[in-house]
Amino acid sequence: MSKYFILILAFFLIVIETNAQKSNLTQAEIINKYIDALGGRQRLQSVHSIKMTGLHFYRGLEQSLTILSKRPNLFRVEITNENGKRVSIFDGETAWEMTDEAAAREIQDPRSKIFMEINDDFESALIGYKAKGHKVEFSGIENVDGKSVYKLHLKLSNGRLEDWYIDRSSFLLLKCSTTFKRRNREFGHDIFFMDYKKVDGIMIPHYIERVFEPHYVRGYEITKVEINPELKIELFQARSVSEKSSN
Amino acid sequence: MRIHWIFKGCLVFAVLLMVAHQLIAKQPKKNETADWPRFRGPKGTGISQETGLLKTWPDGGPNEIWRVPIGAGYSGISVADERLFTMGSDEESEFLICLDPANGKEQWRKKIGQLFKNSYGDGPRSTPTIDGETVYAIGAEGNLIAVKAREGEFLWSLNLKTEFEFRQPQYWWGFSMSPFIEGDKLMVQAGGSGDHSIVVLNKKNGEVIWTTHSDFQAYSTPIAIDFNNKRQFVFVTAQNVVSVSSSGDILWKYPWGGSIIKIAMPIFVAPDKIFVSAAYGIGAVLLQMISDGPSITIDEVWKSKVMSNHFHTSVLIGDYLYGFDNGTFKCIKAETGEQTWARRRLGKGSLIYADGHLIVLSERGKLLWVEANPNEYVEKSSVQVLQGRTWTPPTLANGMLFLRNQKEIVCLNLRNKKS
Repeated sequence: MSKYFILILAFFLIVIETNAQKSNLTQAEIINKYIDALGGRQRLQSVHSIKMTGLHFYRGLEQSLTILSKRPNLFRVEITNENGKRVSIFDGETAWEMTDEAAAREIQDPRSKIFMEINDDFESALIGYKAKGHKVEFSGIENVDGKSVYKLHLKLSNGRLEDWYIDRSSFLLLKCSTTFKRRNREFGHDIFFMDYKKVDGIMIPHYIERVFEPHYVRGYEITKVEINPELKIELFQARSVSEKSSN
Repeated sequence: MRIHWIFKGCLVFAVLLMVAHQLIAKQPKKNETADWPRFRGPKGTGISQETGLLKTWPDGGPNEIWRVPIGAGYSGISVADERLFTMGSDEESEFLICLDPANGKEQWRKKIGQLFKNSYGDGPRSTPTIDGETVYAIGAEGNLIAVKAREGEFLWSLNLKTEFEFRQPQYWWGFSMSPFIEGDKLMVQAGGSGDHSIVVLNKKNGEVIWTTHSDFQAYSTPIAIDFNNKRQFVFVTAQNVVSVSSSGDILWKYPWGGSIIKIAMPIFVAPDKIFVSAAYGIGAVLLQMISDGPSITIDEVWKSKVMSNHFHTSVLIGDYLYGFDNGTFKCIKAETGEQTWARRRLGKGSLIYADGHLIVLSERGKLLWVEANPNEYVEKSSVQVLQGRTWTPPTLANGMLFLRNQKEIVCLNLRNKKS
């Protein structure tokens, strides 16, 4: 009786072990599958600029949204409502903001600054991460909103720490977490990527939700994506005059 | 022979009479089940006892009965005895407004005070409370009024600010808690100095019965609970969860979350626990009341950031709490705080429960019909009803769902048949 029991137990242990090996990919495999899921290294490298338009949601209000990004690390967000347009720029080194009425000034609010800074890599930080000087460490399997994810801990070359949560079935990024400091306190900042759709061979999240402590939520709904539009470098430069005067 | 038939006929008539009587007796009193006389419904739990609602909604959503402008304000909607009450405003003043719930026609309006202005939106925040023939309302500047529900005739009024030495907190959003009635008592948070934090008035004339507790005001409406066969009233004030007896004795107090703003109501997890939740980094805590001789001590069962209710209170259905953790709609197990599912993209929405479902209103006016299912998020229908910022929770009364934003109020028919 005990012989059979041991045999059955051994069989189940082998099955469990085999399944575990199947699901437990190496860190390099996870990253490669993630890059493939996004569209593949070759296709991603052929993209030099992206323009996304849609809606921005905050405190129940809806505003029109334009997000521009350009290699290697340029990023611009325009949010327009009935009171005018607010523009935030990351010029590769510094985050700036300007309005219709006011000239560019460096972003001081760490809640806004962190969103511009974490978009400082046009292509994903995981593409060629070693050459970029980043360190990546697999930190286990977790759950994001009911989905099983691989958690990767990134220490970027600029010192910023990020946790990336990659869907174990689609290999797309579902969540990116980092922190920011405000009034000598550290706060969490999470970005959730949802509603991925393929555009010209690239998987683009069409809904992005920023959740940052202590209680803020901002939604970015993307309705149109243009791959490789012509984007002048001036769009990513801080102006000494207001948006209104510069147009 | 004829007499026999007459006798038989009488017998049948008597039986029919008895059956009819039984049927009438079995029908619940309308006011007890189908009205929504105060903030978060008949018992302040966000739960409606109504059944027979649409299982799924047709394309375009439930039948819209009426839609009328209401003016700025986040005031909720109360309905009883075929009258609907909410508060709204014009450019100068705040009003208690009575509408006919059948057609949205205004019956009367009473000025409460000057318009409260705020960068997050102007107007009154509190929800009127209907108690029999009287309706009570608090304007954002602290004017408490008692008015005859039928005609709108003033019974009494007082200003909570001036009457009770109100101390304005650092971040001020206006008086937001709704009047709470228990027997002859009307309970409010006045946030006054000394022992004027909690104020209990005679609902008939506004005279002070007792005051107690020293704390700044929070925006939370209290609840009444029975623990160990004793009635108690649980308030969330600025820095405490505090329980008082009907005679004003403080039964227990739990210091909670410093001076940070608290808005959501406490939830009674029977037989002996209280769930409280707040945003701004505080999160939730489940408290257990333990009898210790004549006194009550409080234990923390769990404490977590899994559910941070910003300005809408969760709903407890069975063993599970459904609510908005800031901008994420979640279900958690009340006893443990364990999360079972989460749904994004709704903003800081609100919800109530009816007929096995959650009626969820997103922060941008999208209405959803979601199974009250702790195991998975099952959305059965949805429709965009309102546009823009929608911070007032839904009201369900007599099969009609009432929703509002800063501009208008709308009535939808959730019954199977068109009325």
